[in-house]
Amino acid sequence: MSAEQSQRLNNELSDVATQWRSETAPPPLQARLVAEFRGNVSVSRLARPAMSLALAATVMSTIAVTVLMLPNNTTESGGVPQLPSISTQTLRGPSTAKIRAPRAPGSLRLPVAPQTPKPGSGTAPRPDDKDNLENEDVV
Amino acid sequence: MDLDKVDDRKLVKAFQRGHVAAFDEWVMRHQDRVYRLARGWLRDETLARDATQEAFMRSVEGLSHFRFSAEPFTWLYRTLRNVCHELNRTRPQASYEEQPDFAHNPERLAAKASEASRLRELVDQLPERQREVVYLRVFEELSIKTTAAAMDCRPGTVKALLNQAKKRLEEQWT
Repeated sequence: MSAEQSQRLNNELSDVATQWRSETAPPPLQARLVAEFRGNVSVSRLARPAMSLALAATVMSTIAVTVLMLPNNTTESGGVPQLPSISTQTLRGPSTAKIRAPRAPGSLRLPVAPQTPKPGSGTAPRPDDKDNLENEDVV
Repeated sequence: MDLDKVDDRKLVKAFQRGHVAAFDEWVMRHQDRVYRLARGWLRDETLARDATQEAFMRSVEGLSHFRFSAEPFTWLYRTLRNVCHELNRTRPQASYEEQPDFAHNPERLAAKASEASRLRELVDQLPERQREVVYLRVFEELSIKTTAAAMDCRPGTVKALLNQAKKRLEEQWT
């Protein structure tokens, strides 16, 4: 190829390059990208407090249900119900610690019915379950 | 901080410090180039959009841990190349060959006969590394150093590949 043809090719390549550079990304692309990015940021930044709130809500609802279900939250004389004391460990996070209401002196304790499996249904209660219940009763 | 006036490194550092607007500037600054290169690699506008978006989304994660062992744009370009490779691997080969960039576009179809369009087609048919060097060095006017960094090769290799590409184009163009 002659020098003239080579120059012509270079000029033509330059034209193609100009045409190439004139192409721009479609406008919605940029908006979509930024929106998605901001969406990601907001999710990741809010994730922690949102989870804390969810955890707090779970703890509070657990406490509320526990209070309602406790049989010994009233005195024998029908006085003001006593709110159960909540240990700080329960408030800190998920824990297996049970919340127990303080028992009024002389108040009755409901007997724990022994769990007897129906014939052919499920498994028999483990002996250590009963032991645990009994141990809890010791104040 | 005037984000549009800082270089890429400072921009990425601002982003790493939690400056959300730095990402907007990052996208604004590079989206056209990334989109053009994606179109060059994929020859399909829709896929090029997807690839551009994917490359930038990966950059959200990647740049937050970026250690500046390379230029940020070089890193972004390599990410884009990976995305384009992945897309090219997964789509049917037939559609890749049958869908030139200007398909279904009457204006581009009419201009196809022009010299420039013919040359562009010849560039698209170059071997991959030669094509890449033409895209980066000739079309995007990146420096030899940046082109070499983006292609992960030496500057001498860039020059050699460019010479080979031009020689091949000269042979086919006449």
